[in-house]
Amino acid sequence: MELSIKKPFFTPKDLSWHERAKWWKDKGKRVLGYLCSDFPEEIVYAGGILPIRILGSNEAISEAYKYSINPYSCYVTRSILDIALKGELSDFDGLAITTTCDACGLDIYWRMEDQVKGSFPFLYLLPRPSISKTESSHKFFRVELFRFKESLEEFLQEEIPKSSLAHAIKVYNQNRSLLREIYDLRGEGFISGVDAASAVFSSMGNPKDESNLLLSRMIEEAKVREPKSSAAPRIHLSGSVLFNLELFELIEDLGGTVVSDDLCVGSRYFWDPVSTDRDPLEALATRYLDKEPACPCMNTESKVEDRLNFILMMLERYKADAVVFCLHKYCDTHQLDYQILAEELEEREIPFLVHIIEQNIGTAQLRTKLEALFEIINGRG
Amino acid sequence: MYVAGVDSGALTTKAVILGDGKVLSHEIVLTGMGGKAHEVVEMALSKADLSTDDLAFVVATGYGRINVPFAAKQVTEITCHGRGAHFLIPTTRMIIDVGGQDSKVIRLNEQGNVVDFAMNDKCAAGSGRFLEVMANALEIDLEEMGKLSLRSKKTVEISSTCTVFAESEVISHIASGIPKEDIIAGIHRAIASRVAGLFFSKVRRKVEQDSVVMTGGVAKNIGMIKSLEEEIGIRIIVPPKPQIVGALGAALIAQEECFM
Ligand code: SF4
Ligand code: SF4
Repeated sequence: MELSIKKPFFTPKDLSWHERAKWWKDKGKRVLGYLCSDFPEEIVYAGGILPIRILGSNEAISEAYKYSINPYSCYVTRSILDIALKGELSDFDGLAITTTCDACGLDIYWRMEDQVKGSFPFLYLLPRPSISKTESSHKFFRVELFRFKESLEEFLQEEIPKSSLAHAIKVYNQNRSLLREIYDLRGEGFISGVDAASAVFSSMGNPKDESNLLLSRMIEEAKVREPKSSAAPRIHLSGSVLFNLELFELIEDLGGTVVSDDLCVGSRYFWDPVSTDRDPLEALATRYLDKEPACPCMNTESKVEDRLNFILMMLERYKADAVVFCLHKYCDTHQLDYQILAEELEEREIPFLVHIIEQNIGTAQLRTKLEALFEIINGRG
Repeated sequence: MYVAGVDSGALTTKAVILGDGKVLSHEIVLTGMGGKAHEVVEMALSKADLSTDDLAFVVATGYGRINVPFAAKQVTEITCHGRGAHFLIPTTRMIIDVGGQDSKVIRLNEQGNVVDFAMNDKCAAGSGRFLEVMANALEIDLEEMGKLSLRSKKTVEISSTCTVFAESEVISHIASGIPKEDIIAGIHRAIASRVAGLFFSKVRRKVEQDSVVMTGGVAKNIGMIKSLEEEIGIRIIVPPKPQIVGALGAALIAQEECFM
């Protein structure tokens, strides 16, 4: 199998989970799935295991309803369970779940334990406090990361030395800064919205060191290209998980371009680096709790304000004209934040729209909404 | 100089012909009954003694806007309703457009430009189609519903949102002998409360008198207007031909295109 950026890993049409895992396992190595952008992959990578993000997909659910899963959980959660229940993750050695929202954290963990047990020799629930930016939460999370590392070591029958952790952090930070560079190049028209998004998607499944080589090559190629200067409406995407690049493509089809985001499959995944001047686990605990843009499941007092400031910073940095919120049905954490964010954007006369998605993005209606938004931006509204 | 706007909707296709900024003619035909966009435009043209050769520019809007090959430009119904309503009633700031299969709320600034909008894009419950299904169940004409409902003394509760469930509810109300006018009033209120939810999602400041305009076919239903006014607590202005506001807006944009 050839690694590539163009062929990320998220739909069976591209590459099945089996193929993904097998390719790595054929090298005598192990694979661990994780669900959320707030999962400290570095620890897993330091243990020589390939962490692969399980995003869910917009394939119809075929297995999960037989297990009485909650039909009122977001589609991300339902489809992840379905993928597991269909046995598509059977080649994975492990699965790690961060406690975030109850649907994606606890519910998936319990069901994996109950119903998919056996398929994961290593199944771990990583307790993440929902408060950040405090000393006690940092301490708590540092201890939890230590316990996670210990369990992993027990599973591997091997110690994960501090130096490996420090190395992992270095490789991951490099990935983060490459992705930022790609975002900056996209902002200047050297890279398309779709290509920059593929770079992030593929980074969530490719081994980071090899991913970094691919991204560096992408950057070199982009720099010698003629930048596309266009008056196209520049869009900031806001939300959590998108299963694929459909929305990026739709926006480009309609003559716009995605220049920025605060998605869990975008900047929420990579924006902030991990500091390298202290104990690795402490640095990881701090980064994953305090990072911007924060996960809306966090309950820090300034959460929405921080999220707003991050969006405003990105709008300015990438000269975005409008915000498109694409939120999952039944995802209350994002939808509650949206109400406040929307009011703030309106106050500042920044155009925006919200679209609620479930299995699919609902192209027909979304098309009209996006076109109307573009007409507002282009002054035709 | 003559231009045309055509609004290819889910239920009806509408065309408006403008000549030097004035409406010369219009036409409304059921989309399913030969309401092909070019035919509707030709019908409107012949009313104004014009032919397609006289048209300098055509803009298409509505659901079927991409299937109007002779239009030089496609513009969303959101922008077109905004343009049309502001042309007819310059004080317009909020538009409630209840059409065949969806409803929209559109907010305008003082210049008449759209600044924000919301659309019920997941379900057709608060739309013209809902009324049509209920009229069928009640065995009355869609057009009669408005007037009939004004006679109601006791609005009946319709609790289901889903069109199919609401229809069974209506049928059981008929069976238990509840007067039709009370059932219709209940139907209107059910739609009105959904539309009001959409409306308030886009209202942040106080709504001024004479700033709320309703467009789309459902605006012809006087009972619906009354119910909506009760729900949102302000008078609603309805232009004389609310169904053609989108096509008018398209024609106005066609006219601007000629001067660009
Ligand atoms: S919204 Fe929060 S819990 Fe969900 S994937 Fe993103 S970071 Fe994780
Ligand atoms: S989209 Fe929302 S509900 Fe779904 S897993 Fe993420 S935070 Fe939880």
